[in-house]
Amino acid sequence: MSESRKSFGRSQKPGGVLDVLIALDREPDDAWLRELKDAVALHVRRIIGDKLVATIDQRHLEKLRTTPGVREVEVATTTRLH
Amino acid sequence: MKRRRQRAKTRFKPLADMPIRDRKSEAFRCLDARLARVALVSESAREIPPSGRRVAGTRGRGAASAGRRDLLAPAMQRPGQALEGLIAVPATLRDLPLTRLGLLALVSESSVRRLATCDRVSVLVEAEPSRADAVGHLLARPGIERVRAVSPGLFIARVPRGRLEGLAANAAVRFVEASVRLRSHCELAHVRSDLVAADGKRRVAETGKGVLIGIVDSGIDASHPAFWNARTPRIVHYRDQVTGDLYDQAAIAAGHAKRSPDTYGHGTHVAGIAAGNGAKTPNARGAGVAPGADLAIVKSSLSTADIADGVAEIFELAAQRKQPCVINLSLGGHAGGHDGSSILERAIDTLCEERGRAVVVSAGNEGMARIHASTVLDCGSPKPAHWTADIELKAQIIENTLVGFAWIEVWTANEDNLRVTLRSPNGELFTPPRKARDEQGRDQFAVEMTHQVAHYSGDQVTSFGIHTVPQAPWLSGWSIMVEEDRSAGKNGVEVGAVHAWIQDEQMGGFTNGFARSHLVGPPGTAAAAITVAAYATRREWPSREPQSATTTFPAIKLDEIAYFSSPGPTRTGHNKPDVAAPGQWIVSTLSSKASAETIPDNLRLPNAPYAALAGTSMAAPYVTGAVALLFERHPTMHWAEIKRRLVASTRKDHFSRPCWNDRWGNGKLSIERFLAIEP
Repeated sequence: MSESRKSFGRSQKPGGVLDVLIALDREPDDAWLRELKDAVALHVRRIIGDKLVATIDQRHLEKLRTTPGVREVEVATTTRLH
Repeated sequence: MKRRRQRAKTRFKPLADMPIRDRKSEAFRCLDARLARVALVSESAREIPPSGRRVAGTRGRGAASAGRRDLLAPAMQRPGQALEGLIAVPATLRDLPLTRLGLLALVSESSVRRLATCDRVSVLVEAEPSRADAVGHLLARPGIERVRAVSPGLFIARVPRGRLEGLAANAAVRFVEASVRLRSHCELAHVRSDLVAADGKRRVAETGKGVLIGIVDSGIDASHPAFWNARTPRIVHYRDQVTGDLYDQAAIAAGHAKRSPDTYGHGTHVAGIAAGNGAKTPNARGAGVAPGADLAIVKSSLSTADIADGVAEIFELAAQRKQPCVINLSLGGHAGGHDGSSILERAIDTLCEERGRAVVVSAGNEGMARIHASTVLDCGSPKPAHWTADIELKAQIIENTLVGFAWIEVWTANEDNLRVTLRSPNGELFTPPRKARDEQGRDQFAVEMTHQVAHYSGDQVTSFGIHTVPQAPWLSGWSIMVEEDRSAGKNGVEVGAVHAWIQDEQMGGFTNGFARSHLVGPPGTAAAAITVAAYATRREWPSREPQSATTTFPAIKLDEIAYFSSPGPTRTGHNKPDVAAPGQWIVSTLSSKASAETIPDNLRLPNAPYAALAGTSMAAPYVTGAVALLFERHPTMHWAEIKRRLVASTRKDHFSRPCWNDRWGNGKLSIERFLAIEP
């Protein structure tokens, strides 16, 4: 029950990996981004200015939220075709 | 019923029975030889009551015109055009004895010419009640060809022109209607959006050449001929986010893209509206708005992260190809503040900062859904303000299990001190700790709850996830309660606006407190996005279904806003949607792999890979195509300038009423004016 509740409406990949959108305080430089990746095992898919599209193991989600320089983290939600 | 009355009203006396002055009546007035509009005969000699029986009497010319008004589908009425100008038939037709033929449709010039010159006319013949056999015998006489009974009492036949009047005069015949070639739906929608003139010719020279149109959707049928120029695919990039596969133009030309089929059919249909070239339709009448544009497609999982990734990928491709680019997103959801502040929406804003880029989003199809509830709490009332909205969940299958599940977000202003509580059917109260998360489980249900302050807007959002067994009494009897908190040091209500959204109408709905507003969801509320509502331009089309040659929705009021089109504004009061475009119903490209579940036979056209669909998904690509035409002319235009043009060029009529309003936005898209205007 708990697992299905958590996964529904959230974009969750197998193995507890989450798609996330991240807003940063500023556009990231390479060194800072490398540190972030190492700290929370983040896989960055795309950089859009001061925002990241990434995947992360959900165990590291809270640590990501409290990382200096990370302003917001949104777990990706599903949308519907209109 | 209505159709029957319309036909009855167009029954006329044979010429032989009419006074000379009526024979020479204003039956055929030629106002525009290119456009034949309806009604070949004057009604001036008689008046037909609803029963269909003719009564004597003469009406003047004005009365005839007024009487014609209710015979016409609204689709034939153009704003600002007098209805007196309805009959526009080449003079050669004036001599035809078509006195009882009704042409209640827009017909092309070629059809009218054919009628005027051919020896035989294809007609629909309706028998009087219980006279079908007599009409059948009548039509079996020598000289009448290809008789077929469509339904009891209704026949199709080819009749010599000289025998039409005699056929119409027969007592067993109720009505004779000439068969004419109708315009395809897509073309009719094009007429409404001022892309093509009534004669079918495009009003604008641009085709979108040199512009990249991006579609993030369910994929595309890359083999559809509408997306090819001879042997070269017009799709230059096809990414399948689900498998990770990428097909470039060469791979598509080699047929490899069939490994990523569009089994839903949605993306193929959307792409055809924006950019199909009309292949496999007569005279390419099924062409989309920008048939000269290049296409970049992302088959998406539809998660917000994948959408952001797909949009960025297409814009990067456009930059590499040095092309202006407009991306269509016929999708959306209801998670977030509905104020443009989600990270996906801000990413779209960021990506559109560069000139020559635009994103078009559909407003949504929740116009009748009860997924939004709202109130404005009183400030400074003697008693603490209080509001309750009740919720009923729907049982649904999640991961092969039947459950009740809903995710609800309650948004309140940062300035307000409010307690937001969920009450369960057994009366338990659940309030999340401030800026924290909690989870409570019971035998029959579980509740997940979170309180946080939104980083961007500073407003407060309280979320509840309800997970319950799918039986009474646990599906109904849930309530959201919002109470003013005047405890020590707190100011209570200062703003008072409260909005609650259930994430998806499949989860359930509010049974009280709901409001049919603020239903444009992310990413449609992004500031840079051009958000599109839908209105009706079509209610019937030829069908592939064996039992029915035509699919008809007679209740649809043409030119009126689609009932499903989601109304705005945003939670913060900004104007969304921006514009309305044709979206109910639209004929466009059909994926060869679309399943019968998503696109059944009654939506598929016979003998052509095209189908009719409805939704704001179909309206958005109209605007996407229009922006592509604009980019051909102004490749470095900024989205803000594009919106200024849209606002200044839209058409308002008695359907749209004064604009901006929350259903129509700034009014109906007029492509010709959109391209020509200099605001």
